[in-house]
Order: sequence, then C-alpha cells, then structure tokens
Amino acid sequence: MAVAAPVAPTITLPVDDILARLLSRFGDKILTSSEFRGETTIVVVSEHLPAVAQMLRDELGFEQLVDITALDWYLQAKNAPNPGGIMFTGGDLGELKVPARFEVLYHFLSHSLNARLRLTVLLQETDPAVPTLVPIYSGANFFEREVYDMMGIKFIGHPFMRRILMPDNWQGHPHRKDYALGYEQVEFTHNIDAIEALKPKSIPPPRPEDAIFEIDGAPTEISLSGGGALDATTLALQEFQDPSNETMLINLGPHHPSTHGVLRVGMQLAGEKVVGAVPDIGYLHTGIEKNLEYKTYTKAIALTDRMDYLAPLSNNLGYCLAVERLMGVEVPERANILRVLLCEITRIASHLVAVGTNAMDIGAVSMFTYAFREREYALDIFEMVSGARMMTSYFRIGGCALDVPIGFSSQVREFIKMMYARIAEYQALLDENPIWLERTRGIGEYTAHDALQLSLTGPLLRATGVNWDLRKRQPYCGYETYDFNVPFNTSSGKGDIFELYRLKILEMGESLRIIEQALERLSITPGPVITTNRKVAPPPKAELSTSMESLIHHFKLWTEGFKPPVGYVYQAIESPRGELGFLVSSDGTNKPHRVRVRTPSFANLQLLGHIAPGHTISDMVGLIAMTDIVLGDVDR
Amino acid sequence: MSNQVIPANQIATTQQAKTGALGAAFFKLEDAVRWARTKSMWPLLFGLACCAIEMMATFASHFDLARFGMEVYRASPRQADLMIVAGRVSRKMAPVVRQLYDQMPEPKWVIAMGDCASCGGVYNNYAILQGVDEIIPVDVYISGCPPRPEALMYGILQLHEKIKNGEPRGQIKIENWGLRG
Repeated sequence: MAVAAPVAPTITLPVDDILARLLSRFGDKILTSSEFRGETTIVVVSEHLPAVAQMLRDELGFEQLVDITALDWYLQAKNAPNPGGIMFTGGDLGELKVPARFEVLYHFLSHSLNARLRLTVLLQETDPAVPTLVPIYSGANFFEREVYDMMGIKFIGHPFMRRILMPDNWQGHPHRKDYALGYEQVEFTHNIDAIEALKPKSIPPPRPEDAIFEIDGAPTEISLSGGGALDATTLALQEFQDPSNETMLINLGPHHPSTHGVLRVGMQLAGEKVVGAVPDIGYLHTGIEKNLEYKTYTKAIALTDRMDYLAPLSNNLGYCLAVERLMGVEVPERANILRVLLCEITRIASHLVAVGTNAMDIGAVSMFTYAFREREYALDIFEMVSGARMMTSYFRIGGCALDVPIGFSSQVREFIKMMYARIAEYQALLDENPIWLERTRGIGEYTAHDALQLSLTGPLLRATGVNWDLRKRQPYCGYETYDFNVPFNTSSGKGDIFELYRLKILEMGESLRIIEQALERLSITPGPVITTNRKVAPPPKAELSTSMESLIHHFKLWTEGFKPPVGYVYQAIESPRGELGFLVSSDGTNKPHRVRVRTPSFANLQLLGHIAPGHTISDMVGLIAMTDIVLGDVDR
Repeated sequence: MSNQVIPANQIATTQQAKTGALGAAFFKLEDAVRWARTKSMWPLLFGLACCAIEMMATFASHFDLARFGMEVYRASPRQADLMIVAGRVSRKMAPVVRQLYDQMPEPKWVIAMGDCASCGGVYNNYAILQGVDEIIPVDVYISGCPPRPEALMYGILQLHEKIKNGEPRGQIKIENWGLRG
C-alpha cells in the first residue's frame, strides 16, 4: 500500500492570479515564470526586485521572506552557448547573449494564502550585485550576508555587508563552484615544513574592540520599521546619561556562553544594562553544504544529521523529502508512519534539552538533570532502530533504512507513559516557581510584527500568537491525518521566555498524542518500509544471490547512485526549532548541484540582537536559551 | 619498607576512612602527586558541536561522571586542567581554542573527543581543522561520531592511567602555530 508521491503542499491558492497581478504591474520587468514540481518561480530583473518584493509584502500578503540563497551555474555558464536554459534574454537588459552564472533565489511565504513563491535574479560573473531587501524584510539581513560570504554576491544598500560565517580575512567565497572543497592533503610526508606550507595561516582570536558595532559610522543593528531595537537602545542609554559613565564592550563567547554552543555576542554595556548586542557566528561553520555536493544523493544523508544535532532525524527527513519530490518517488505508508513517530520523539528530545538548558542557565540545575534523564530514553529508542544514539541517518530516500526491531512498540509505549508523568513533574517544578517566573516573565518581549519581519519560525513565531505550523498548514508524511493541536500564544500577543517554555511543554504533550496514534497505526500497517523503486532504493540483500537484475541495481546504486532530473525543489518541514527547508538543486548528475539548508536557528538568531537592548547582562543567557539555537544548525 | 610503593587506591578501606583511623603509608612524593592529580581534575566547560551534547549527557544524571570525580566543570580556563575538545574545530574557532589552552595553568591535559577533533572526521574541507592536534597537544583520542558516553568515560580513565604512570604528554604537530601572523 502506498500513498501518493509527496507533491507540493496542498496549495489552493490563486498562483495564476498573483502572477497576473505581478505581470500587470511590472510587465516586462519580469522575465519569465515557470513551474516545476508544483513550485512557482518568477525571474525578475534585479533593479526591480525591491519593488516586486514590496508589492508581495504589502498587496499580495506574503508576510515572510523565508530564505535567500544563491546557485552557481559555473559550468553551465562556461559551456555557453548551451547554458542549460539560463540566459538573459529579455526585459530591460535587452538581448544580452552573456549567460548568467549566478542565480539568487528568494523564497516568500504567505500565511494568509498558505502559499509559497520564489523570485530569482540572474547575475553575470563579473561584480554580481543585487539591491538589498533589508528595508522591506528585516529578516533578509543574515541571509544576504551569508550569500555574500559564500557566493560573493554583493547586496547594494545592505547596512552591514560583511562576512558572517567565515573569518573577516578569508580569501574567496567557498560555495562558488570554482572554489575547492578543501586543500588539505593527506600527509604522505613527515617533513613538517612541507606539511605546514599547506596549512592555513592562523588568525588572531576576536577581541571585544573588533569594530562590530560600527562600520564607517553606520550602526550595525537594523531597526525594524517603526523603532524596535533602536528605541530600546535609546531607553537604556537614557538611564545612564552621566557622561563619565562610558559604555563598555565585552565578548560573550565564543567559548560556550551558557549551554548553547560556540556563539559569540559582542555586547555594548552601560553599567549592567545591555545597550547593543550583535551575534557573531561562524565559529562552528563546517562546510556541510559544500560537502554535500561531493556525495551521491544517498550518501549525503549522513551529513545532514550533523547540522541540527539535537534533531538529527528531522534533518534526515527534510532532505529525504526534498529529494523524493525531485525524483517523484512514492513512500510506503509504513515508512511514513515511522517517520512521523520518530520525528515526534525527536521533537520531545530536542525540547527537553531546550527546556533543561534554559532552566539551568537561569539557575535551576535540577531541571537540566531531569531533562537529560528522560532524553536518555528517547536516545535508547533511536539506538534501537538505527544503532546510533544521536547520528541516526535512519531515513532513506524512499523510506527508512530498516524496519523497527521487535520490542520497539513496547519501549515507545513505556516512553509515552513515563513522559506524561514527567511533563507534569516539570510543570510542578517550574510553573509556579517564583524565581523562574521572575526571571522569565516579560523578559525578551517581542511582537508578531517583529517575528514576521525577522523571518522567525517555529515556537518563536507561535509565541507571538501566530498560529503557523507546517505540520498543519502544509502537511507532509500524512500529518494531516493525525489528531493534534498546535499550541500558540492566545493571550498576550507577545513572546517572552516564559511563553516559549510554556509552548515547548505543551508541544511535548501534543507530540506524545501523535506518537500514540502513530504507534496504533504501525501495529496494523504491514508492508515494506522503503520504496520498491529499484532505481532509488537498493533491493533486499537476499535477492542479490538469486536475481541478476537486483545485483545490477545494487551495484549501480552503491557505485554511482541515481540521477534526478534537472531542476530544484524547496521542501520545508517543521523541525523542533521551526521551518527547516532543503533546497536541492540537481544538474542531472548523480551528485547534487547544490543543497541549500534553510535552518531555523540561523534565522531565529536574528531575534537576539533585537530583544537584548534594555535587558541586564544576566538576562542574556536566558535570551540565548529562549531563541533555542543550536550552533550546528546556525553555522552548518 | 621505605622503598615499597603502596598503590594509592589501597591506602584506606572504607571502614578506616569512616573511623578516621587511616594509618600510615609510604610512597614516592611523585606518585602521590600524580595520584592526587587524577582525583581532582577540573575539565573546562567547553563544547563545540554534537560531541558536546554527548559530553553533557555523560555528566548528567544517567551516566553521572561524578562517579569518577570529574563533574566539576569550570567555565574559566584559569581554573581548569583538562580540556575536552568535544566537536569539530573550525578555522575560525581554532585561534580561540588555542588561546583557551594557553590560558589554562600547567599541568594540563587535552582529550580530543570524537572523530572531528581527532582527525577532521568526515569533513575534509575548507572549514574544518584536520584534527585539533594541529594546534594543541592531545593526550587521548576518542573515536566515534559522536563517541558514546561510555567511550568518553573510558578515555578519561585512560588519561588517568597515563598521568598515574607518568607517561609523556601528547605532541603538537606545529609548535608555534598560534604565534604566526
């Protein structure tokens, strides 16, 4: 029994209507529009991009800019005049015969229409530049900096156009196709001088006085339209009007501030008050996206685990779903049930760490030991199905690696039973704890407007009263058939640390309900856990000794892999931290042309600089914990 | 009698410890110091990536690293004598790691936890240092991606053994790495 291939989210939206309105306004400024696997892409002339984005936000209801990324069509541009279909052909640019090398992709999301739209801008090799979207969507800030860092595309008008992941003095742009994956050779010599010549030069450690607050006199913090961060800064400064009371710059991190990884926050302090805070990231940049381009589609799964290492199964799932959509692969129902079940256990395990470390940062250490005690049971379940506690790599393209072992159901049932009681225990510990309430209520308040502007997703968005969960609104893996609620802030319309904690506790309870239902279905749904499409998934090992066909399939899959059609898809799932999106671009070979991961933590971190001003330094760890970032997820 | 070395862990039985009647023992001062060092190690509260989560799990309730007297994680390198490099070290982070190491007082030890810290792991690319021993000397390497908590405990116990036996320190590959401009 197999369900239909996961097609694009059930969009009942008038894409044609939106297109028609855009065309009537901009006409020849829009080069083409195309549809692939249910996703609409509009190619825009770069000068008119801000105007189109403005119209999308103000008139067409696209509240969020979810992601900005870029593709490098280096080979295709080099091999012109047969450039793989990407060419400047019309619009204001006239009949340019130079093939485009770079393609900048903007992903927009509309909550009200429940729709996604992609704008792309084509750029030539020399001095690629596009106008910035920061004045329209503040959330574009980090994304544009990342594209600049990784692809070398400048964003004209961006207030802080500097590298974000790589060190400032880095040479080159790593995600370009003409940039080598790595240059460190295997050591065939013991001559230390020869080895040393290949090593990178060291760079000095960061100092607080590194100019991270001002560049050429311009403040780095980007205010939301209508004040926000700057207002809080002004307020904090007014309290210390004494001119002898100078502000002080200090580093929080990168050596592990609180318990959330190697994040560095440059802080400007007036006494104990934070006046400005700028997150500086990249200390865990691993080059996973680049590494993925050098693996076959199946082998790449193992690398996705290591991005959000608190929710590895969600990463596996996002990547597999994206490739499945690219390939048009059907997934057996049993595999879908297993995926839902395990991802919800992942969600619980991840929220346990989030709540536990949040409480520990503020001083409630016992909460941390409680949370890690329960997390071990979740890890035991992962170990049971995959053999690994954390880096499971359990999902495969077209299903799951194996069926679950005997005893799985009873273990999960015990876990459910235990968790209901334990969640009540956490609530008893924290919900009425006066110190906890004092340290969390009203700390780090932000509104729905901020959240939408800053491209926040997941619990951070729901804490402001926006009822948006991809499991409900754009379901995948059959989530629409499960009975569960999406907890969101129904009272205040403002998110703070306590609200985030409350939502995570509620979400754990909802996840348990989903797991219960999935467990029931699992017991009555027999069948394979991976697709029978031999071009994607290998045949059972036993078949190899009896069938020549199977042997060939097995050999081809493990030596060469499979070749998806040319094109790209963007698949988003609801990870514990928010929208986890995989843009998988294929150039028709057996390895991805590019895999872009839109990680929730990366966007969510933008909130920190916005809410920190006005709070005391002791609240900073609480605020970092509130954003629930995983630095592996931020830096990749 | 005076030449005989009594193993330090046999000095006192539980009963003796309870009554306070510890008696007397004779051994080399060097051995006593080494023994004492293994019993009061303060690791640096410092994690990098996935391995750090397993490290947290190791000192949390289920595995309880306190059984080995290792639970006192210090946030300041000035108070720590063991650095557990838990995770991949990026080029951007490397100078920071080196500085933290330099800030720790002697004697100090380093455990490279996991494949990435040991040799770069699966990431032979532009961003990741191919083993933290390029920049700081490592005493114990623990394999695994990430190593299980039991593996970390075993690695720590191996380090204890190494210290007790007075074995030489790990070697750094490039001595003056942090000093180059």
